[in-house]
Amino acid sequence: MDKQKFISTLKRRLARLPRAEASERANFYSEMIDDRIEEGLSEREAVAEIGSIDKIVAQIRAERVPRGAAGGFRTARKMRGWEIAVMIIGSPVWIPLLLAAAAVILALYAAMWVPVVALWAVELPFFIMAFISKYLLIGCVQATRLALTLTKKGAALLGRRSNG
Amino acid sequence: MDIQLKRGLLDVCVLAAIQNEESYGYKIIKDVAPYVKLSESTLYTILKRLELASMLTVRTAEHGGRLRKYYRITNAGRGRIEDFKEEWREVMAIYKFVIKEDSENG
Repeated sequence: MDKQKFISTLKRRLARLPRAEASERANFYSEMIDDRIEEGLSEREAVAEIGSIDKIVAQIRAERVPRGAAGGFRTARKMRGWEIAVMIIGSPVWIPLLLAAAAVILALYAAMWVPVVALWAVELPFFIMAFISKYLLIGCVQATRLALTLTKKGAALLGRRSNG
Repeated sequence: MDIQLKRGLLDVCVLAAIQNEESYGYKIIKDVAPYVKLSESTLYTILKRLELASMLTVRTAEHGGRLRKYYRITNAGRGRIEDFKEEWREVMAIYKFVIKEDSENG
């Protein structure tokens, strides 16, 4: 690997660190590589001597972990007898609390829907009105037609009487 | 070797490497190499720790068209070296006793 690639890869792998620290570490390695090149090593040899980026990252991770907590997080362990007993005895306390918490979460979720429902509630009467209006309109039209027909028939009857 | 012990020893090693004159990263590694192998990562951490403990100072200077960090020991750093020598005089005395007892019985 050449120096540019090594340093840029290293910076990428250290992205999770605070920016100042990551940059400081990268500069440190860059300096180390340059010093080796000055001594006569080729760029590739210098980078190779520094070692693998995986090892560097692993070492940094190992340093940041507080002693005694392997891997940076506590691994699950079997519960001791007294811990189980406390859990059971304490259940009248934590079970209702848990249920209350769940109820609060559900209520909050339902509350999110309230404005949506309210908006649709306003829309609904308009939809119903439109629906009813359509049929009222049809009914009116039919009634008017019927009235017209009757009027025509009535007029015809009257006409025949006066003529006959 | 016990990790804590090794860490303390390496700290003093680095201090000793800069006790006579100012030095820089790669030179420290080379000077210490005949006695103990020091990786870049380890050295970085040690230098940071010693700087935080005010046992050395850091300055950046131009060298060959690039920047290089130089580390210089402080009085506190020299004090640490003296403490180390004192501790290990005692360790050596006990070690001699253990060896002597061992050889008398063996």
